[in-house]
Amino acid sequence: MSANKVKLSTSDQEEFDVDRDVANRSVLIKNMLEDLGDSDQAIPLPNVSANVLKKVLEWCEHHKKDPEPIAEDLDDNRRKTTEISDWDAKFIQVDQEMLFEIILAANYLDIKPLLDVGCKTVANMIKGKQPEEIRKLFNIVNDFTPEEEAQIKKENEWAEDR
Amino acid sequence: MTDTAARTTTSLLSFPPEVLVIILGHLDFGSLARFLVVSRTCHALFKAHPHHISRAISIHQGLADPRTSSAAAALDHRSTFPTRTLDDHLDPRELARVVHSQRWIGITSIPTWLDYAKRAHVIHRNWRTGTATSRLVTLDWAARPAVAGALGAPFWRFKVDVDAAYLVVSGLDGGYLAFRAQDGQLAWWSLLPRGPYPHVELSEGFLVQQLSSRTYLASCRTDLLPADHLVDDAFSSTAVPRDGSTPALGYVPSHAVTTSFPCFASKLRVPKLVATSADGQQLHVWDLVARTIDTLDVPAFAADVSNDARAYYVELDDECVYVAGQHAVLVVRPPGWGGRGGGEGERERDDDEPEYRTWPPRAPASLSAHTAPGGGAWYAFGCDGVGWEAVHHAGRHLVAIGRRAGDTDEAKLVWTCDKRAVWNDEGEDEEDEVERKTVVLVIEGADPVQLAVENDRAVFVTHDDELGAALWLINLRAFVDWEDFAADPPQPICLAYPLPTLGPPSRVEMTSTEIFVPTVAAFFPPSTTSPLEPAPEPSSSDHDHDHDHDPTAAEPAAAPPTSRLARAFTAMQRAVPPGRTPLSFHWEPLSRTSRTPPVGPPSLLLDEDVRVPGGSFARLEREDDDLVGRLREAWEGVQQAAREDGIEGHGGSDAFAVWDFAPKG
Repeated sequence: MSANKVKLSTSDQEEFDVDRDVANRSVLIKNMLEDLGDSDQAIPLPNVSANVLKKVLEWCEHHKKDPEPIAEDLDDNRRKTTEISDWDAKFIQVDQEMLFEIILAANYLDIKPLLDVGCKTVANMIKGKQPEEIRKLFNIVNDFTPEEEAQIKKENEWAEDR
Repeated sequence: MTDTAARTTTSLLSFPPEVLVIILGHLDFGSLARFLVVSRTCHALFKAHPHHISRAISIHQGLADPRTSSAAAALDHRSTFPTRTLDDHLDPRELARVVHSQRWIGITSIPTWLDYAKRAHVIHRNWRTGTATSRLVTLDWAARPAVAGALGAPFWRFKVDVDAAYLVVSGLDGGYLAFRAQDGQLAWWSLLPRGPYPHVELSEGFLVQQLSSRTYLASCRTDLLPADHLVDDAFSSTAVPRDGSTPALGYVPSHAVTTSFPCFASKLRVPKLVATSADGQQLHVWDLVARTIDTLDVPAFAADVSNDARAYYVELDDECVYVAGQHAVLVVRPPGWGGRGGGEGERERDDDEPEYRTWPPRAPASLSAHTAPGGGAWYAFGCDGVGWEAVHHAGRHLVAIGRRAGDTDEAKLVWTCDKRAVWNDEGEDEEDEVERKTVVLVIEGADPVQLAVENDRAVFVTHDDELGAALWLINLRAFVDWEDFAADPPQPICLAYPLPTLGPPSRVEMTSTEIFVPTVAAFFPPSTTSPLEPAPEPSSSDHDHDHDHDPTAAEPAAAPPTSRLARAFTAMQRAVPPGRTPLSFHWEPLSRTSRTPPVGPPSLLLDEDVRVPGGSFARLEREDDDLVGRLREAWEGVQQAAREDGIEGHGGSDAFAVWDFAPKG
């Protein structure tokens, strides 16, 4: 196997041959590769299924040349906090289950920019919605009594837009 | 539940907390408030990590950005924030730095990010909605008869020294004084220099006084002096506060500079003081820290923007100097100044020569037939004979004001939402970026006479000889082009009409939480501390309108007004229908080829056929079609009372009306 290729093995026992610089977008894999040295062994990813890994690798392939992120630069980044690049926005147009799986995989594989894209997407789904709409969207049951709900609303009055 | 959309194997709330915290960090506070009542788990999540979440939202929403005040921010004040996950300890020094950078007068520390978010968000919300409390700060001249005797009571110009919590004023006939912003107590004074109408510049603890048309004196606040500095100050005195022991801070002369030509307009942003020559031909750039002085010839000023060669106003930022003249503002990029101008449009530059642009830009060639002087458009030279009074910037916004011109009743506030676009003018006859990103607030019925721009907000004062003055707020935002802008044009918010000032005020200044407008204490009943607060009408009132008063309207709280001026001003306030002013506003692009519907509060000048939200104004106008006439009479009454009380229209001020946007308590 070429030194530039890495073998990844998914929870459902599929194997992927991946360019090293693509796989290196995952800090988890990068660290494992550094620890392992040169090896033909497949790296096991027991928390990621093949269909999710395929999607994640598609993102890594597109972003393999991105510079390492450093800090949240206030002036340049903050206004874009909810903005997602065109390519990423298209990439993340998936059903809710796949979106959640990508987020969990990005968290597990330690791919910070992908995790951010996923989290921003979920945040954008929540933004502007009323509590009942949020419950419906994410299948959450309201387990507050009306009194408790009123109390919490009052507690957090400061945060409202008005 | 039968909703199919929500049927997934992984549920949101089963995510690891560190992921949920990232998600919540990308919300705004309003959405967070709604999320918290979704379920117990949602609420518990915030309860478990309030500071991480509050920090992330504050940073992403721009609420932790450094704030500017009093048009005097130092030239480079950026900051960056590292990403913090749940595993990371939040550094209290970072919070302390952010709190300090907000320039909240009197607030030196805040214990947690949650407390910070509560304050910062409410301040932001109050600015957006124009929700302020108001108070009167009367300057305590009488406490020092010697000072009052030497300098006379009224002041002329002023600046806010936020770190010292001072209002620093220049006496109408000379001298400089510092008063505590919270109570108006005298803290420091200098009897020199003497001479009428002295200018004052103050930035980051440096006070610059103009001793003569050719000489500037820089003083340094005493807490900023090097430890070995020998404080032996024959020029000024500090006062021991009446309430206790804290010795007052003062300003000690540190160095002086003499120019080779008489100077007119000047502006200080540490470390640079810029002054224009009286004939507009030259700029002096004095670096207070490096102690260097550069002189720049700017022949383009007379050639490009001014026929009368008068520099009305000067402003600067990291990259440019802005000189306001008769027909436009000349934007000068001196050689060696930092930063880059535009992105795509940037050219190779000769680093020895200043670069120039005219702002607003000149009309495109295809339009120039319409844009001869007086021809109607808002380009440079677009209107005849009237100067650009002031130009200010905040962040990327550049704003300037100009009075009514010629025969028209239209004054203007010109706003470019990205000042770097000024340099992107490569297009031949295409609309340049600067044109797309520039809009004009057309003001009918009054002149804008003072302007302050800070922290993505513009505050301005309008004045009309017959109808008095008003205080306005506009929340600025970025936009791509006219279409984007016109879809949701910012609304001018009226903070006060009438404003307690006889003529145009000498200056308006703004911090991150307050607006300061010079006034005369005689507008208000004696011994009232917050006469600008709303108060119910007296029950014995002779008129029976059942309306709320302007929240900033002055009303006697308990004692009846005593001075003629105070009585006349109260009568004027009662004559103003609630929420209405005798002005009208709309926005236009520079080309005047389009316009928005009226913006701001319903105007008393509106035609009957103009639709008003709620329709209440149209009805009101039919009931009483000479409201404007009544306001004119009321304002004449105010002026008459002032004359009888011996108060002149342009005679300086002795108090401040303050609008405070910070939460109470």
